[in-house]
Amino acid sequence: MRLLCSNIIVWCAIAISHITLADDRHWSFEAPETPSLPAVKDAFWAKQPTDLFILQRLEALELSPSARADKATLLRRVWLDLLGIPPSQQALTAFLQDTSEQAYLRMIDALLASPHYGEKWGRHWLDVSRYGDSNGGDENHPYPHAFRYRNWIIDAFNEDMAYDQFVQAQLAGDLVSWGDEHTLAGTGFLAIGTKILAEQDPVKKRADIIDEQLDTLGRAFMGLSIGCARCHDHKFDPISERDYYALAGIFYSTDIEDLEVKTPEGVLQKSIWQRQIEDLDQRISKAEIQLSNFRNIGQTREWQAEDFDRGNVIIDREQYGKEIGIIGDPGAQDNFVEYDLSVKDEHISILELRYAAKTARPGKILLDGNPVFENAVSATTGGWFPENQKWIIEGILELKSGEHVLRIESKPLMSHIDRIRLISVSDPEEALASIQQIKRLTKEREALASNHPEQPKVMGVSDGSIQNVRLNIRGNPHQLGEEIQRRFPLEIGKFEHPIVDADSSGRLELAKWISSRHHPLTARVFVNRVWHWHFDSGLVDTPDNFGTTGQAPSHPELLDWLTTDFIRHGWSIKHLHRRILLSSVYQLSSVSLNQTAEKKDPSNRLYWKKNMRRMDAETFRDALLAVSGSLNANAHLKKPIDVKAQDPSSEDLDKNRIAYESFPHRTVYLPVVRSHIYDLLALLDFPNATAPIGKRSLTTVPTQALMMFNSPFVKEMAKQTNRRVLHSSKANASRLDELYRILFSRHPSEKERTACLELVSKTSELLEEAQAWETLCHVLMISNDFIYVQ
Amino acid sequence: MSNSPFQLSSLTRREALDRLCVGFGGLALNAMLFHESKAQAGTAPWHFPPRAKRVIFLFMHGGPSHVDLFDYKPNLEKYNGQALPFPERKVQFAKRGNLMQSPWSFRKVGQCGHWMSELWQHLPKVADDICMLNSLCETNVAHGGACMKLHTGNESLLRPSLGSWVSYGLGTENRNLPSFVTICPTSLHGGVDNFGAAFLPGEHQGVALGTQGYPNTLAKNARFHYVEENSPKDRSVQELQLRLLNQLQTQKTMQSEGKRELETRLKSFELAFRMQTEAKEATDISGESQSTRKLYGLNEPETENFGHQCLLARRLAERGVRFIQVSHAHSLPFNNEQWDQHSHLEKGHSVNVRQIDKPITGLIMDLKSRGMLDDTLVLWGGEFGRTPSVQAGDGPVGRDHHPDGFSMWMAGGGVKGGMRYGATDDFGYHAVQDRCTIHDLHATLLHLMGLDHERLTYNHLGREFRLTDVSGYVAHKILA
Repeated sequence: MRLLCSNIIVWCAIAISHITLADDRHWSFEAPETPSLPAVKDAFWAKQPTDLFILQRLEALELSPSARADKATLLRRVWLDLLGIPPSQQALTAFLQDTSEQAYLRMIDALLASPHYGEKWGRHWLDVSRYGDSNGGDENHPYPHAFRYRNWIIDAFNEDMAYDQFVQAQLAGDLVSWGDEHTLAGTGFLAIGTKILAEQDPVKKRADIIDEQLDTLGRAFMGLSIGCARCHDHKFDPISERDYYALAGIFYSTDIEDLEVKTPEGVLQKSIWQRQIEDLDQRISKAEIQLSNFRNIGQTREWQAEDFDRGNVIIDREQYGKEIGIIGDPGAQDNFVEYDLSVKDEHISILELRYAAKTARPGKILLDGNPVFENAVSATTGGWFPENQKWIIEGILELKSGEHVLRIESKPLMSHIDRIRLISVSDPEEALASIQQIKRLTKEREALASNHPEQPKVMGVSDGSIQNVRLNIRGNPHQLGEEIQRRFPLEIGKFEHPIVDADSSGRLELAKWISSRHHPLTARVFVNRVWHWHFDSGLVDTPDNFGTTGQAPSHPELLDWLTTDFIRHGWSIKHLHRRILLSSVYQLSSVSLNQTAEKKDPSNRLYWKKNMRRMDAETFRDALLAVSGSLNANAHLKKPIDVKAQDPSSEDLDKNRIAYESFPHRTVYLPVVRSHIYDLLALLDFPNATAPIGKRSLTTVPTQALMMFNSPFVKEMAKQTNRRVLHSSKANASRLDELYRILFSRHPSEKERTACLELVSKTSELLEEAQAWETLCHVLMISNDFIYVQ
Repeated sequence: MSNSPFQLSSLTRREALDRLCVGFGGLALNAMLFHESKAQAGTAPWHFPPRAKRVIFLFMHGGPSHVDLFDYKPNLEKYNGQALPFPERKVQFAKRGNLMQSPWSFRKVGQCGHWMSELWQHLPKVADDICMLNSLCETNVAHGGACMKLHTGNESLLRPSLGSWVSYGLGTENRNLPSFVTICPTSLHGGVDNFGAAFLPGEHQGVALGTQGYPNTLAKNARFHYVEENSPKDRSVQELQLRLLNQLQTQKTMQSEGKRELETRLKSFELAFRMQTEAKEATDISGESQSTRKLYGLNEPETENFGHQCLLARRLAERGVRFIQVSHAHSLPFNNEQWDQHSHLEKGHSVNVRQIDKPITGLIMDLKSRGMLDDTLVLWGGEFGRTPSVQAGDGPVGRDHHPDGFSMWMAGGGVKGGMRYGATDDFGYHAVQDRCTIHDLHATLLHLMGLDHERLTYNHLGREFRLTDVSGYVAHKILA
């Protein structure tokens, strides 16, 4: 008996886990522990405990780190790194004059407190969360509320939100107990991904959207490619197909929605508006009751609109007239419909039409060829469909005995008319007064209803219908296997997993599981991302892949030390920045004079110098705006500028370009239109916003150079910079000094001075002097010295 | 676990630098050589001898109707107005009615006897150069998904486009021009992603000649972005600027590999400078003879625009551009997309064929007379075909989207001219013989270019990606 049991257990273990982790568990799946600090020879070199790990490795290979960068270089480096803009003239002067030991520390503290810090570092995270303002893919509809997620991210960085909470808000901001009305915006993370909205198969569409959510959250927070397990057990990492569908159930239980942000003012405004509507409704129904007193219901004549005697309209029983039958128009014609009425005894009737109209499509009503109601069929009912049908009073008709023709006309496009009735009235004058009152009140109500107080909305998620899903065999959502309980991957983070409550989606539990201090990946992945963004190379140089196919860390103990230190300090991102920025290794010079090191470690994986790095796309644009004095440094938290995302014509694209180029705020506030990323950014490797990008690609192609040479925007920035410079002095030498200070935070060398002034004098033979200087500004602004940060 | 930084498996910074481009696609070739050398030391970038050196892809946006153009079905006449005798596909785009015969008669053309409808007045002249593919089959019924599948092999996720894979695989023959050019592309249904490089290095991305738009740019207005009409004075100034960039660089005493990165960037400026001249010359058709202009229909208003596009394609092909796409993707007054005749089939398809018939025939004849057809593969097709049944609705009749069986054709570059490959059923509904998916089409096209679709891979986020994902069979029968 005992033997049998253990056999079953062994069999289960094999069946469940494609990748078994018995003895050689992959390093990143084990929770980090704080390593002891290594002993080094030159302990004085270290400014932070982290430096010891770096130095230990260098000493082991008998390498020495390069010298500390000079102050001006350091200033430009830190400004561009932390704020994404070059240092101002005042900052340069102040920093160079501050000779105290605390100067660097004070500068770091000031920059971390600047609102521009969130604009730069929030943007890093937006790469990871594949932020975009349109659905991309096939049709590219705008996401009108996505920008509130972007704003929330910038704020979160500026406020130094603890990273564990930062994670929780993005997965379950609607559910966390600590949140406020703004936390909801964090769930934009799950909502803003690319979606193929025109997919005609709703089952596949849902499955694709959930796959995108799972894959994104896996890569972004854990450096795991969960998406691989959609069709089969992950080939390299311990995520089974069952794990995938256990997680998928959480998102099948979650709906993506545009959600109102309930600010106190907004709620108050809305309730006032609602009361006004209710008040009008009451007055309308009162008037209707009054009117009904005059109605001789017994003498009502009512008929189907589609039973016309003559007409050129179409009858629809499938869509707008499903199950009721309506008349509508085929478009592009003047519509009419006529009914023959035979009246026995002369009487007065109310004419009422039952129709549906989302927007007003007024027409005319004629009796025997004479217009009786000029602005008829003009009400709106909230929609075009049968459920929106409403009886609307048109007015009072005097009907003499005999034959009549009732005619309804409209210009192209007509409301969807279902039925028509005539109700005879006993007291025409009173009835008319009531009708006029009803019409007036209805109009008032319509105006108020269309003036709905706009509540700010976020694109986010909320719990929907709670469900487990069945395994999709080979990833096919139409071929279902067994039902899988909602839970977390069995082999990842083997601490106590939270149990998913049967009545909730499980997103909150998922958020807590991922952001747990015991989770082996979450903190490590983020610490490595931050390191990577500071150094341009990660301790793990595949920042989105911590699985078995990812790179091994160059300094595993350093990564673990920083990770545990980060958690101990309340997951404070700004604390992490200080650890890194105040270290010796961050402050090294990027100029390499060390032949031995070049030979032994040409790729600088050991950090014996600081890597020189090219400005990223938005830093380049922001830097051009900044040096030319064109930057509006205020945050642009409003709706992004209007650019056409869906089906743009080439004229639209020209207009879009002008909109981009005349936008004076920082690049992070520009809309990210998927498939039509602003080309200046796209050419400089701005991500296409479809998948998490922890490490941008770096390409150098002639089209970039063509853009640098010929872009009207770059030329305009050169012109503006030139204005500043020309204004500064009349003497060439001091003008050049000024230009170098603005662009490079330093003076030109003698050789540079000669070469630059030679360009000015040679171009002056071809152009006006001012233009010659503009040419110089232009070429320096696209030069390697400007775009490469030392 | 290894603690040595020198045993790291993926790209180091230095290797990453090798992927930086000096010219369009130049280093990709090196990268390929490098990849290949691991398997077969000292071989060319090709996996096997190429039959075609370049591709001209004539893209028909909207879905041309196979049963009205190339796939003759007498049954549609016989059963006109009757219901399809078997159930329709589950996921449909619009509601379909009964079977509808083609408004046009069909006849056999050329020595080979290809079926073509009477709409084609010129194409029969080159029928024997055409390898007709009657058995394309796919699944997605929406333009977006189907266009992305055709261009990138994936209907929903962002993936490198066909042209970018070819560029990545083979690089370019002319370093002063992009290796992949798309002439007058549309911004619809995938837009730039249909000629993007996704995760492949940026130099393999298709460069648009004429801004992508909806409707697309007219050929006479098509320019490369940022290639300016510089005056001689502008050029002198730019030359001086270029000189200064170089002077500033030589001030540095650098020994590190960062130096290479900086030098690469300087080289890219020099190339850009040269490209301005070359690109301008390549797109200037003023030197073309009257007879050539006539051949492409440039003298007639209806064919002028597409003829101009085809002529640009030939000029780029002559200059060593590896992959050239020409898009027939304007809008019509009665349908949103060029070939999307949900209604007005008769009017729409008549106009469309008239616009392309002469230019395409002219292009094939011109390539042939210049001895280029042998190593230039011409591919004609849209994202799907159209239903053999009428689309339910009012107004002049049309047909709905139909991916289950449709037609494309190839000519030149290593395919059997005059051959017919595959077939649909008697109603033109399902591809039933030699079924050819888009993955198969891509695999075959790469094969013709000398590339094995299973070995043309790129590592992205830890996974080796292919154009054909985990699928694709080469249609060996069509290889000459």
